[in-house]
Amino acid sequence: MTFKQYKWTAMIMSFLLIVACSSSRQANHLNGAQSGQVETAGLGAPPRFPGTNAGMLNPQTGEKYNTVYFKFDSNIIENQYMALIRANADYLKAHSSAKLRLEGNTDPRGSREYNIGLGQRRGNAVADALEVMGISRSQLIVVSYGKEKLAVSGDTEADYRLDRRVEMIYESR
Amino acid sequence: MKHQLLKWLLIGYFFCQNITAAYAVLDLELTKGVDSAIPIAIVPFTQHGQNTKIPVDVSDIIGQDLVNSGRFSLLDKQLSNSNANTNYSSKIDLNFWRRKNVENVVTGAIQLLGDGNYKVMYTLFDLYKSRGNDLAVENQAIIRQEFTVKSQQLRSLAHHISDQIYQALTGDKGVFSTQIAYVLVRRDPGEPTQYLLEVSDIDGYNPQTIMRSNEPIMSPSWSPDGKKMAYVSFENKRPRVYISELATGKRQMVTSFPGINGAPAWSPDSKQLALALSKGFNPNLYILDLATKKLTQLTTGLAINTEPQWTPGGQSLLFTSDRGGTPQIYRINLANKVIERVTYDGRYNTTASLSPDSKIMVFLHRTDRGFNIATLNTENNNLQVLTQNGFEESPSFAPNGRMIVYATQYGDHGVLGIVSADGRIKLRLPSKNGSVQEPAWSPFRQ
Repeated sequence: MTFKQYKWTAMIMSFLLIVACSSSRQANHLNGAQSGQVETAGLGAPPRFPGTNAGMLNPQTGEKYNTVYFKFDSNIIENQYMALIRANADYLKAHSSAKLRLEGNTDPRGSREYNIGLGQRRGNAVADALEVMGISRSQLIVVSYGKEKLAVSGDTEADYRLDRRVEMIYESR
Repeated sequence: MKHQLLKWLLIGYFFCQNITAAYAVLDLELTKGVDSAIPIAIVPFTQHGQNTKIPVDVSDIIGQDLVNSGRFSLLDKQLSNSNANTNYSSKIDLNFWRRKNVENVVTGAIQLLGDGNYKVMYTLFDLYKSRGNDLAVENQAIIRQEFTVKSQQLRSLAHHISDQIYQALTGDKGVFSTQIAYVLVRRDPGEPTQYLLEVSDIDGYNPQTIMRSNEPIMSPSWSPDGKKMAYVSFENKRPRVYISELATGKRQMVTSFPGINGAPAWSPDSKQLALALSKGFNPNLYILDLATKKLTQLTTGLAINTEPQWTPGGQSLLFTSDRGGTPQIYRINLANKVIERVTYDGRYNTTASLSPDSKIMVFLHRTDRGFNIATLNTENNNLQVLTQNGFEESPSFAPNGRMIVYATQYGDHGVLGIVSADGRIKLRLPSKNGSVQEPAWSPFRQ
């Protein structure tokens, strides 16, 4: 392990520690204040901050962390991403001042402004899923970049799949 | 004919390589001309007065302009030169030029004046204006003009002369003095991506940056008087519509609603801006009164409604909507808000706008060969696909309605293409430094 890698790991670990501490405190506080509401999720393990690696690539899949991917011409969230969205919901619930930006994106084909509309639809779909999980819309900001911020530059079907996505990025934690 | 064209292309190419590297981002390159191009000779302009080198080769620029229009074929430069007058005069050797099979000849002269200004004179001859050999050569002149300009105006004067020649010989207004706005995207390794909103002459010279950002810039739209530009900027991670004054660079934010603020389009009277706002949901069309800031919503519902473009008279808007399941072009009548579908051919039609005479609609049309630029004749509903690359987008009409500029891919980066509205002439404007996208052709200079 090089020094740089070591430094990174140390930074991330210490950050996770801080987050874990603050979130458990927050969770207790929430529970105490609203005793009428029963929370079944997030009590056993304090919700961990899901956005640590936001923007970084998973070397195995080429996918970005904390990102939901979509099929062609679709804004339907596939089951495999529900756990990821749930983790963000838990975190947002435990941190009422946290704000999550949902960046909707499309593949590079077709009209730019029409793609802005499609990206917004994907961002809204993730926002709707979070809302169903009890998250207030005031914690969410949907921004559509359409095809303006492609994940990869290629023109294969595999490249397009990585482009069609919603990145979940925390503006405040 | 074919050889001459090729030769000229090569000469033009090397000329560009040597001279323009310093300040032209885009170079025109004719990829397909018309067979019936008008043969013309541009005699290199003679220089009078002191032996100072004239900073701009005016006659060469005129020649390039006319060739790049696709409607002219130039006589070889050497041939033109061999009969050049040592003194510019009103006479030319009619029979010499007729034997060269040209129909038109341009001669001219440039003189450096004592005050540092330049006097430029030129004559356009039509060899077949009057038939018969006994007619005076002077009678064949159809334009004879004289200008006095500063040295930095020589280039735009050359374009102005090209406009005059083009109009005299084709009957259409020339667009050599117009400009294009476009977004230039630079992805330099190790650097954050840069987005630049730029305006250049139509031949790629004089690129000027209006704004620069590390976040995307989209959808430049010229005000009808050519003095302002509306566009979308994602600075601070939110899309906002801005208007910049081109002369001063002064800008104002126009809309900043939650969600989409996009697709601005000026009304023909410059008083209103049509745009797409999502306000947290799906994009719908709105009209913003620029003086009163009053916002009027035009469409409702859960479909995507975007890309409004005013019809030339200002009575209605064309727009893109997927209300029918696939993106298609619709038209909304602004008086009674009635919406009618315009395109039925194909499953993907977007980004429509009308020619200034309303006779042709240009739009992005998907076929089994990808996304291409197509036109619809509004009188007989005839659809014509103009390009074949498959990666096209963002078509924009020239103010004379004869040409369309659009974005496409060449190699792995974005370039601009120009195609005549009838599909017979094609030009490419390759970019030297980055990807060029979202061209918007300026109105005529006022």
